[in-house]
Amino acid sequence: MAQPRGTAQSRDEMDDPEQDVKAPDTKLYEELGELARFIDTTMKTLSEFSAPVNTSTQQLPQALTHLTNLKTLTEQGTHKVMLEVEAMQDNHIQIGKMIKELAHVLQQAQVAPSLLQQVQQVGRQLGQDDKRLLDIMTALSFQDLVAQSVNKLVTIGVRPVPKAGRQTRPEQSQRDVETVGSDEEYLDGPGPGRRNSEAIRF
Amino acid sequence: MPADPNMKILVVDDMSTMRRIVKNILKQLGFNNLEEAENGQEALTKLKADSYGFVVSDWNMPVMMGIDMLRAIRADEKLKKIPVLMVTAEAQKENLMEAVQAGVSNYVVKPFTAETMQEKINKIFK
Repeated sequence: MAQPRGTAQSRDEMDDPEQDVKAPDTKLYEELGELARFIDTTMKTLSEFSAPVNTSTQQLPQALTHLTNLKTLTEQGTHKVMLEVEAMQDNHIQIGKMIKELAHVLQQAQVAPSLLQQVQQVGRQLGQDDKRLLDIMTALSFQDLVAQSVNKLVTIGVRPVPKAGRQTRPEQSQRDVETVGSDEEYLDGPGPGRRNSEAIRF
Repeated sequence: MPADPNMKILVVDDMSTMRRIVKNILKQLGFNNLEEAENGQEALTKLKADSYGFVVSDWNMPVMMGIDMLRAIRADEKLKKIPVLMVTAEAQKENLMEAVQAGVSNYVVKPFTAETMQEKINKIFK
C-alpha cells in the first residue's frame, strides 16, 4: 500500500537517497501508465464509432446532389408535360373555332336539327376537356411545393458541409473527440476554427 | 369595374413552372398581355419601367421576397395603386396578417385551382 508522501517514510528509505528519489517517480509512472491504458481503450472505443459517422458525413454532399437533381428532374418533367398541355390547348382553340364555323354553316344550310345538336355537343365536350387540361396544368404546381421542400432540405444540409470535408481520423486526439459532446459549440453553430466535430454532429 | 383583358399583368415567381402555370391560367381567363419576373427586385425594375395593371406574386423568392416587393410597391407614389395578388405556400394566419398590413389586394394559398384564381381576381376588380 502506498504511503502518504513525505510523512511516513521508513528509516531505510530515509537512509537510501536513491530510493527516496525513485519512489514518487514509480508511482507517477504507474499512474501515467494507467491513464495511458485508459486513453488507449477510450480511443479504440471511439474509433469504432467514428467509422459509421464518417461514412454518413461523407455521403452528405452526395445526398445533397441527389436532392438538387430531384428538383431539376421534376422541373424538367413538369415543363415537358406543360408543353404538351399547351399544345393541346392551342389545338382546342383551333378546333373550337372550326366547330363554331361548322355549326354556323349547318344552321345556314338548314340541316336536320339533330346534326346541328351533335356538332354543338362536340363543342361542349371540347370545353370540358379544356377544363381538364387546365386542371392538369394547375395540378403541376406540386413541382413548386416539391422544390420548396428540397430547397429547405438542401439549406439545412449545406450549412455544415464545408466542415464535413475534414474527416475524423481514428488517431485523433482525445480533445478532438471530446468536443463532439459540447453543447456550447452546437449552440454556437459552425464557425471559423471549428474542429471536424461539426461534421460528426451533423 | 371588371378587369381589363388587355391590361399588362406581371407574374413574379422564382420557379419557372409556377410562372408558366399562373400565366396559363390567366391566359385561359382571357388575359393575354402577360410579363414575368423571377424575383421582387426584377419585378420592381419592370414595374417602374412600364405601365402594369396587375401583379401576381409569389411570397418566398431569393433576392427580394414578395412581401418586401409589396411594401416597395405601396411605398412608391407611381406604383402604389397597382393591385397585387400574393400566391404562396404559407397558409399561416401570421403571413396573411403581414400581407394584409403590407397592403395586399388578395391572397391565394398553393396549391390552388383556376376557379380560385378567377374568384380572387373578380374580387379585386369588382
